[in-house]
Amino acid sequence: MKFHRLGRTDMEVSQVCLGTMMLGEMIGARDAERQFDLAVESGVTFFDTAETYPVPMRPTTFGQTEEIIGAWLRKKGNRRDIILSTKIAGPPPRDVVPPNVPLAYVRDGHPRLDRANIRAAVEESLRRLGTDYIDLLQPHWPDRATNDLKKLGYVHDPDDDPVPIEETLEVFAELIAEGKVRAIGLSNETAWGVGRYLSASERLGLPRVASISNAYNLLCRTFEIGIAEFSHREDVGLLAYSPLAMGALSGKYLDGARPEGARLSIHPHPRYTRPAAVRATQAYVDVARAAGLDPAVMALAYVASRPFTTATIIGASSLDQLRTDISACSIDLPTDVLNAIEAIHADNSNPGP
Amino acid sequence: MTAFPRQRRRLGTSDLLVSPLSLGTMTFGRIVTPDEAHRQLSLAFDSGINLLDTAEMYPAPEPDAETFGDTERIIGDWLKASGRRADVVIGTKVAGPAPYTRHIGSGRMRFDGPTIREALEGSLRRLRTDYVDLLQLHWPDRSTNALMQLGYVPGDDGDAAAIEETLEAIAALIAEGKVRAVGVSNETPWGIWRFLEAAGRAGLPRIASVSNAYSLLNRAAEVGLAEFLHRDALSLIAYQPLGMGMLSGKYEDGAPAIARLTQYPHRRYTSPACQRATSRYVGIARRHGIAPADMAIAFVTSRPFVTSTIIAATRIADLRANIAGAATPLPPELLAEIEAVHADLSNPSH
Repeated sequence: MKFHRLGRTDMEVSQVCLGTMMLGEMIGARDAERQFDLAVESGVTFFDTAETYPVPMRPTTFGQTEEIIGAWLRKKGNRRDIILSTKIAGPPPRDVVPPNVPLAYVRDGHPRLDRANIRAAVEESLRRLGTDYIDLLQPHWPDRATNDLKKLGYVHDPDDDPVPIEETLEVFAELIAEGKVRAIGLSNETAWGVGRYLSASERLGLPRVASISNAYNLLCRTFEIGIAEFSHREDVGLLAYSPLAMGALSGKYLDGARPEGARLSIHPHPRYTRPAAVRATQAYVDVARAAGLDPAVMALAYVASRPFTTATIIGASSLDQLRTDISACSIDLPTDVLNAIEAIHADNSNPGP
Repeated sequence: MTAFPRQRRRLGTSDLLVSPLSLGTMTFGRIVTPDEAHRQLSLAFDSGINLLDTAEMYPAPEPDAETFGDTERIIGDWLKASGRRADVVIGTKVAGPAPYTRHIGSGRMRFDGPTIREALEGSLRRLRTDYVDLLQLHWPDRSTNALMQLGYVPGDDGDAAAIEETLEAIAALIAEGKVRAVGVSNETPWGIWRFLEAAGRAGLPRIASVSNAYSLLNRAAEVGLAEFLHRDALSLIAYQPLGMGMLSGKYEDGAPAIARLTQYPHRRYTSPACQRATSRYVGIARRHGIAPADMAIAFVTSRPFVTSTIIAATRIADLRANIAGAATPLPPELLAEIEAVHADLSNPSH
């Protein structure tokens, strides 16, 4: 297992990060613990979760993933061996129509990145995780109206009324001073947001973001258009989520297949199953097979080997899959495979933004 | 005559007021002869356009030592003859390092103080004026993926100058009255952030504008840049709204003899993906009874983050038509069809 420094902190994280989004939903507590054990045996020290997990987010399961992790940490007594990352919910999207308002059950339906919310969220996460500190704390998504990360077009919301980034950072500074948080990162952020966080830190002597967790995979490389240069020049490394595009890059959904028990069969999602994404997936799968590689392995190896990637967040639905995924992240892809990947990207870029 | 080109908009937070259309001059002295260029300049000015976009490196394509500076000379002659210097806003650019700019100055490598000054003095001489309204850096002197590349590969920055040094040189030129505002071109979000940071921290000039390619075939500016434009009050000066003419549809049935991509083939807008997307956009325009070029330019001019759109033509009849059609109303159904193509075939050019 390779380790990378987390931003400019003194923490080193394994280049594979265990994703836990499905634990408590598609995967029960006992299977989750088997995944934790296998991950640790394989050298993984970096676990990623969020207060809103598992997904799909709903009131009855809110916080359950953190509880599952907390129970395992207590049982093993290995808290010091794990770099634990969690995330605070931001405001719900504005275009939702009652009564189907997501997150209505989180802090009276008003989750924001303000002082009261962050303090309350961190106390609850600490309690559920059964620990007295979080290694990496991230706003799950921005408090302001941004270009929806799943869209390539930009539409500005003139009614935007965000919590100032300075306030968010000041609360983070307090939590770090109190020893409850060791480092902070961003998630689902844009280039402008990364710049604003860095500027505010520099200007006011506030904590500096160490990482950014965005979707990044062969079908979605928008991170490279504006943010990767920040990773490279400012040491804000990518924690890549959805490296397999919800499993689509394994090829298992090609030709309209919806295997029983698979994620997109149970929870259909258009992001990576649109015609352009299917065309690109087929092309990537063909490249992998021609090179004698498992398509999922090639997709993961690509993400993990990008110079701006600090860690690749993998979530598996079985132990076998997890084992394969972990080892995929340390494979070096041959030059002809990399060239073939770039040719597909040039022809059909970001079909699943 | 349409009123659209006569509008004036503030360029960033500077005190420059520019027209929503800008005349591109890159091929003046290469494809467009000096006489035709002067007719284009007069037509544009008489139509209400006040922003002239040029660069020390022009004419292009294929800039060389022999013709270096000819485009600025052609504009300078027109400025003298027409007596319109005070009524136009001239944007020119300092060439960055590239294999095709070795003939410029003492071999362009970096935006250090002497380079900026030398470039500006040369532009002033050729333009026959004592000030430039907008001085832009043509492309970064560090390694980036702003030009013809979506994927990011950290590269060798060579001997790139500190952004503070570049801005200090421009600050001196502003103090001397030789430059009114500063802009960047072919820049990335990180570069824009650094320029704004340096200005805020060190009291240096604040960039007013970003001139990047933007068209139906290349909307990458919306991914990371548009939020900066909006929140930091920067102006986008969009270039190549027609994708080097591809989006006019004139290359759909073979290559016309007098046309830029026939005379100077270029890969930026002619890949198979660009051809597929072009056919679909041209088809949308025709179904709606709109000239494909009008739809393509009007799409760019109607984006809320675009301050000025650079139009450039080989033939004066095309320039006249482009000016007339630049604000063609695009109905919501048509815009929805454009978004559907974009979702299916995004940014085939970059």
